[in-house]
Amino acid sequence: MSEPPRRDFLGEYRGLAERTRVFRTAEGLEVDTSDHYEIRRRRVFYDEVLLVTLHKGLSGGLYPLVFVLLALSMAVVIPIVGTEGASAWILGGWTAFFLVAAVASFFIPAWTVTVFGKRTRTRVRFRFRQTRARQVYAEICQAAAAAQRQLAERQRAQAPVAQQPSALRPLDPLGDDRGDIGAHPVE
Amino acid sequence: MYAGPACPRCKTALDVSLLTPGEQICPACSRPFLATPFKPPEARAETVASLVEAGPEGGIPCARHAGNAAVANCSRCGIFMCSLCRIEIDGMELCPSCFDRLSNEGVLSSAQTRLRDYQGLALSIGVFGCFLYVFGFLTGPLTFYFAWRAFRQRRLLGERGGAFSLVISILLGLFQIGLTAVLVWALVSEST
Repeated sequence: MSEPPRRDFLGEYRGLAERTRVFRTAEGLEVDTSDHYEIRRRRVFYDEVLLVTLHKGLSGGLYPLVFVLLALSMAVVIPIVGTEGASAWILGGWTAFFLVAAVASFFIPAWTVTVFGKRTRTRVRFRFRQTRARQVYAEICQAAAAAQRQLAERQRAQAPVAQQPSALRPLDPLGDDRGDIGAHPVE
Repeated sequence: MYAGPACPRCKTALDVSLLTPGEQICPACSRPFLATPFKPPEARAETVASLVEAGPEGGIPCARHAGNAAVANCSRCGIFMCSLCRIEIDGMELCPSCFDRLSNEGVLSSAQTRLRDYQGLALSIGVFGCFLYVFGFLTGPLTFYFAWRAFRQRRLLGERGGAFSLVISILLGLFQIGLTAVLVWALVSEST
């Protein structure tokens, strides 16, 4: 395989059904969307970025659901082992822990950076890490501005040079010049 | 279907030309967000050098378009190609046929758009194996196998960072095997 370009992991965005991981490359952002079986890759190039946003919200996502499932899986075992004895207390303790974790994980603050390109968009979410989110936001804005500036300079450099006016005076079809090409004066 | 820049909260479409860098208030949901708008240069059509214009000195024709002047050689097969045919990718200049062949073979890392998610598979089997710990001697090694494939894939793709879930997968694999071992030991102890 050809030498792969360097890809630095920026962050990810998890939904219920799929997970999106965002990598930074020299040309833009590579977005890997996965359903835990196959990765579909797309790119948001820096010279196609239209808008970058940053906002704060609640975490939500998959973690509360996972903690609730874990709590349920512990709770269903309690009637089997009986409500007396150390095992019941241990299972009850874990059930309570997972329920608290489910509620707490829902209210975790998260900062989301969204990048809108001409053809696609991507999001990266940072839980608890406001500084990191602002840093990534600034880096993406700088990279997009630099790439678009370079593209504009390249296009200006490749623009055709304006035609200089000819030193020869134009032919006068009604005048004495008789400047028909190939015409020979009659002797 | 992607419809262009929108409010990151309520997904209402936004006119980027009306935005200025800094804090914004969405006109639809009235919630704030930070934004930086950009105005990328419009893509320009690339001019193709005609064979006639190139003259006798630059007049090597493209293998596919006889009226166009060649501007490069294919890195793989060597044929002459004009600027329409030339594809620059991964440090090589390829003709369309070689690009199709190499991208179908999976040789061009930049052209790959579909991959197996070994990291996701390792994590999924690691998590579900904990619920099915009775089969831990099966799901544990399977977790390790997919984690190894994921590490190999990351090295091939040049990825840096984001390996935390792989470490979690390996720990979950060990946990599954440990749980199964405890279960088997408990059953054997009870029977004896």
